[in-house]
Amino acid sequence: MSIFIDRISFVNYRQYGTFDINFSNDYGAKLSVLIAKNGTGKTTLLNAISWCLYDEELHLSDKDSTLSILNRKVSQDNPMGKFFPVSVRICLHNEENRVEFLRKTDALIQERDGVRSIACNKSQLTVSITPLQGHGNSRTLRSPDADVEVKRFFDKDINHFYFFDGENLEDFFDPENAKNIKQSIFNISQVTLLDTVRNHLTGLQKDLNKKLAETGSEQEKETYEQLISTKEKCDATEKNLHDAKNTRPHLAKKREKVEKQIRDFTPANDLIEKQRYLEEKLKGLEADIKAGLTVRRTFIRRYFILLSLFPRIQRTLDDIRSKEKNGKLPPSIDRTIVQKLLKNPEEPCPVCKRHLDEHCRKELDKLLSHLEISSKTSHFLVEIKGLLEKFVDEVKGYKSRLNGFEAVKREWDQRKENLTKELQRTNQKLKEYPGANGVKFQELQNERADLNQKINNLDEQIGLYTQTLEQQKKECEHLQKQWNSLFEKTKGRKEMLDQNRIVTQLIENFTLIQQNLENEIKKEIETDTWRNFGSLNWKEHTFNEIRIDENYNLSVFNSEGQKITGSLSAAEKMALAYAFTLAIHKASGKNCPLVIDSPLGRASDENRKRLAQILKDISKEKQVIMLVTPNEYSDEVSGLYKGHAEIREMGLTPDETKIEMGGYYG
Amino acid sequence: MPINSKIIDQIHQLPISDSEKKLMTNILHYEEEGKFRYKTGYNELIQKHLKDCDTETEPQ
Repeated sequence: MSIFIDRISFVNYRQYGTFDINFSNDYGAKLSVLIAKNGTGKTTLLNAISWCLYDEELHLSDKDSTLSILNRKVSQDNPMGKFFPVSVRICLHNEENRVEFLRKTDALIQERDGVRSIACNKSQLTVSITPLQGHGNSRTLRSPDADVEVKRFFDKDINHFYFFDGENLEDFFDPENAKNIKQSIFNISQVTLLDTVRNHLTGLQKDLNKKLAETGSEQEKETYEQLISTKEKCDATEKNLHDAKNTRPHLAKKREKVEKQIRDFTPANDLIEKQRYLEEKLKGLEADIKAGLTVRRTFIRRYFILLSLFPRIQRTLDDIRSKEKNGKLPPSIDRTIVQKLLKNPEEPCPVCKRHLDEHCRKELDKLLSHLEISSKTSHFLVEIKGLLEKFVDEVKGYKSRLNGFEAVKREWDQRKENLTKELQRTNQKLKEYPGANGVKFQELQNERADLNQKINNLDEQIGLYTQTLEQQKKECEHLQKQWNSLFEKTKGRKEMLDQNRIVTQLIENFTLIQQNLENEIKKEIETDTWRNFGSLNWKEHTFNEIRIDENYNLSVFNSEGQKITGSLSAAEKMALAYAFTLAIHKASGKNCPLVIDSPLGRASDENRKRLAQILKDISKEKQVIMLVTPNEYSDEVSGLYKGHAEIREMGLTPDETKIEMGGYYG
Repeated sequence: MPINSKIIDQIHQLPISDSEKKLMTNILHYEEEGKFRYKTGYNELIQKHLKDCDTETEPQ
């Protein structure tokens, strides 16, 4: 089914006032370009469409502070207390019908507290369907039937796949929207219908089993009760698992947003870097101080030992020095040799080789009385003199060395104090760091930690539920078999048993079909998105795969298998959004139009021309209405579209209250 | 609204009898019409299916 918007008509609606925009495919392609400066009414056109279809202006930047939908000039020029009609009409056709969606309301000009304001009645939607071939009658539908018709053409849940805000592509990658996409696709492809059938059959089976149990034996009743209770537990676990699985992507997306916010805080990043640097430096300094204090402690311990020995050391050294001064040290005569010579008078003198006479003996006795210490002791004293002098020097140098240590410690303490103060200041700044929306940086960090915790808990829960569900399903199967075998033994209830058998089979078959269909649809969207993305993006080696998870979240992977959706450039994101959009359009089985606000705004020169070419190609298959600024509509784009598209300029009247259309470019 | 051709294809691929395939399709059409009292309708369709099966298996 190919849908083409022929006209959008306004009555007293915002800056469009009372105005018609017609669209044609006279140029071979179904491509219309409306060029308008910012603030002229491009996004208002998207709002007009969404108001007409859904009674809501979905593209307002701030819903709380917006002007009324009544045209400003009408409201200014007319007296109070008067009602004025406001309406938007979308006229389209497909192969079978001409369809008009008309939403209208009445706006009352009033004054409250000296300020003019507008009050609108509840708007009414009317859908008129006129068969093109003259088969069948024309129909006019009002709510709620009219809303059903809107859903058939432009399901609100996936409205951004028809009415595309090029400046706001986040919608395409939001898990909340992914859920809507899934639901909408399931509605369109009738997966929901299969689900309803399964639920109804399960209800029927429950009734049948209950009836069978009531008319059966005690054992049957007991088994039935067990079976029902286990099935209920199974359903509850399945629901919990489903909820947990659905919640996870939202939390993950939220965490991704928080992380992005944290990453985007460049000044905060500098502070974080500084915080890390200071922490590292402080850690290093503390290690140095610890090592220095150990050296100091060892030094002081050694000093105390030396100090306790110092009087003796000093005395010994003085003694040695005194002996040296008196010429007793080092010894010139060996006391032992003299003593030995005196004890053995037969032995000749080791110096002159003569035997000692009485005179010599007296002289030697005299000499011996002068030699107070042995030569061994004298040698020892000479040897330790150097060591004792070193000890004495060390003790004398203690003060200056200790002062040195103290000076270094003071310097270290000062440095530590400075670093600690700097770190405290940095930490404080980070704590008080304001976010883009007034969120404090510390709060963002806390939120990230909180989300991490929640996601971890959720993962644990998912694991637990999966395990429990497996056990419960096994138990159900076992009880079902037991229940079935009891049936077989029971006579006289053939009809009920046959019905039960058929219902059980139907549930199994519908479940299988539903699973296959869900997988098939997902696979088709995945394949189509990848194929479309391949033709839309200009990189040949970067991307390797696009995956859609069970919640319809979209992810792009590179050739190393890494998920890189978050690293796509603005133009690549746009290409991905188009690729996904076209795949969704195909899966919906309807060739819907694409109305795109700022389609080329995010692309640079070369990519802009490429995107423009892609949209031109798309318009061969489906209607594309582009709302562009004069900047977006560069010379290159103009050259590309000239002669192939319906191109018009839109502007405001000099009093800026109404839109006026410029000439056709063609 | 017609039943999605993919669902019809899946039903045809199931290793079940034609009568069972017909029953599945009938249930889907019944549900698509959005009938309020589904249990009565489902029971009627199942009983009709069982009756048809009995007729098919009755000796000539």
